Amino acid sequence: MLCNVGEVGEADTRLVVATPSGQRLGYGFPLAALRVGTGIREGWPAKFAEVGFRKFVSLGNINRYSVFRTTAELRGEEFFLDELFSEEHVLFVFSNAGLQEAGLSDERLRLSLLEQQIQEVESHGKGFTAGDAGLENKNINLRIPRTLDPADVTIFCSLISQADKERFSVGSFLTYYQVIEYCIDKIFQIEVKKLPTLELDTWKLKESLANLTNEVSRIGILDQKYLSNTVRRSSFEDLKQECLQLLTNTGDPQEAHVSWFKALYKVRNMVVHNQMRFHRHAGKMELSATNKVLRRACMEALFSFSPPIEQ
Amino acid sequence: MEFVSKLIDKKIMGLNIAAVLTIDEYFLFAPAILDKNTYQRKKVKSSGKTYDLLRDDLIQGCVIPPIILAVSGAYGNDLDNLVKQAIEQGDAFGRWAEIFAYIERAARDGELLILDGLQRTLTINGILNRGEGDFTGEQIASLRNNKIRIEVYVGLSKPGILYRMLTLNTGQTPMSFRHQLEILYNDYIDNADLPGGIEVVREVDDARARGVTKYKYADVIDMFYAYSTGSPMPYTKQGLVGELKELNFLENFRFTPANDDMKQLLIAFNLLAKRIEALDGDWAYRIEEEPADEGDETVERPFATNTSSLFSRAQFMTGFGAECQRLIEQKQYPSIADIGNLSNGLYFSAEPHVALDQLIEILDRISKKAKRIGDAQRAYAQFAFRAMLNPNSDSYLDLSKCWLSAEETYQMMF
Repeated sequence: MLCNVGEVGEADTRLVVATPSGQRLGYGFPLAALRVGTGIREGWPAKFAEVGFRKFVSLGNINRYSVFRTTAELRGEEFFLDELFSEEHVLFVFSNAGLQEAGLSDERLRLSLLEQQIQEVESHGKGFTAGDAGLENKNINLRIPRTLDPADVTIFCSLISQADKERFSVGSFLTYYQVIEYCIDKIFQIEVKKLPTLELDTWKLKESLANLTNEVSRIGILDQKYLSNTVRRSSFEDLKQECLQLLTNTGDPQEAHVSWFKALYKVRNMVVHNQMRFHRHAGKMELSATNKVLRRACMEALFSFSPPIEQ
Repeated sequence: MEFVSKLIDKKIMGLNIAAVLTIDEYFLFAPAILDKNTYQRKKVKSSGKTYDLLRDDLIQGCVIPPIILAVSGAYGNDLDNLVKQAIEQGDAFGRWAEIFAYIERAARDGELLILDGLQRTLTINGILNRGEGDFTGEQIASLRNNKIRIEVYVGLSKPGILYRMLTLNTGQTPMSFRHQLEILYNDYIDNADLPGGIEVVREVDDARARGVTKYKYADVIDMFYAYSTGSPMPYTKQGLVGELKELNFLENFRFTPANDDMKQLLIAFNLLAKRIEALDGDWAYRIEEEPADEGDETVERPFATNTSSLFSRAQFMTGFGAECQRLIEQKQYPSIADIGNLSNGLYFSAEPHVALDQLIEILDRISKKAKRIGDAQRAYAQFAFRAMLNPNSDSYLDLSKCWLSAEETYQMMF
């Protein structure tokens, strides 16, 4: 799989593992590393590199990914891989057995890579999306979206990729926000079925139903009950801060103790119903910055989504 | 061979002698030229419709453009002096017969280079000696009797030959600049007569050149290419920018009667390298399993472990070549030889082991972050020589300070 991960150096070969199990999945090789094998140790890394190289170099892939668009430039010449293809790319080589053991189908793998801001390359020059994996860690740790339906995984791959490529920040925001919509829709379906089983009087039932139909309230339920205990809450705190800043810049300051989901919902409403406010405060706010943290928070919610187990 | 014309090339200060001969006569000495140089034989193919057409046209007796040759430097001062006289005296020069004799001798000795016409020569060779085209014996005999023109350049310096090769090839399907350098300087290999006890070895003969005075042929070419273009990057990297720099080389080319620049570069680099080795206090980089202090770096795979291997690496050679070009262009020094003479002034202002260990650690830091490690190291090496050799530098000639100073420059640029 050819991907963009952002800034990458020749020595940045990385082992890819599933987290938290530590199951080894494969390796990511910067194309420059495949010149002389810098950073590729003997043993399995070298074997994966060789297999990846041999499978990857084909006329089909040259046609699809090469920076050269005519064969005239290639004829009679010798190239390193990172000269034939973009030096920005990383070649990921996975073990079938490793993926199977980790429960990663092709689509789940794509979503897991997207979660790490690793973008699969479609073809040369087409819809280039820069990656942003931040390869400070020794390994690339992939989380597994276990609780998602396979059909939904495919849709999310498409949605997230689309939002990443989107040139207009409003479009990206609304697309990323679909993750929240998905989660709270699931919550509604689960929770509404419980209502008849509860012993509620008319007023309590009405109140419960109102909470369920209220979107902010449902996001609150997501936050309190539907995220696994390994969820990284810092991403929601970052989102809250970014939203508060945006709201302040657009003349609608909020209390500092407001919840992240209330702050997010306020921004969401502004995007859906009141974009005039953006234009009135043009230059003071940056929705694209909000989108970065929103993406992170949405992926966190998606990968941590965990309906409580019924007693 | 009938010599029909003689002209003086005042750009490159050489003679151009035209001759007419049969293909059969040409092929008395052409195979030796093809065989002598492995680079020519390896690189070129002659297949496809264009060459089928050329073969057919040759059999039918077409007139091909002159094949351009040059006499190599094998005949030393005797021929050079003759050429000088011819240039000085012009029409009054009366010893053309001696020059013609040298050309015939060079043909017999295999001391001719093909500047232009390699493809045509190979195509004819294919017909005569490799059965290409499936022609009859009669047709081949007839081809042998056809006449061609050659032009032979006499008395050119190596840069002059290079200049002529490049200008002749511009616009056609060329050998690359780099390829032409390889052909031109092929006689450096295994030549024990290079000054300073320098030896240039082929890659295949010695996987890694050991000892300060041995250099790999490919690296020497790289160094000269870096000097010619002013950039330490490998020629394949340069692309369009490289082509422009090569054209710049052509534009600024001036004939000088001094020795060729490649030799000067090699001598100068060797002087610096040997001087550093002499001052290094027998430094050798030791790979530590664990860092001595917390926060210290460990270098698992050092760039080099001693001064000798450090300065036999292409990165430092090309960095030096590129910086020499820059220093001369900025008129800091009049010639490469003047840069080489700085070697006597080099010194370590502090403990050599410390400075050279730091250099290895700097190179390791660069390799951990660089998109392409080799290119990054070349760029760093150029900055290092700038810090060392530029008189305006704070670390001028100081082998303890120039490496860190270069790292600062590198960090700013990359």
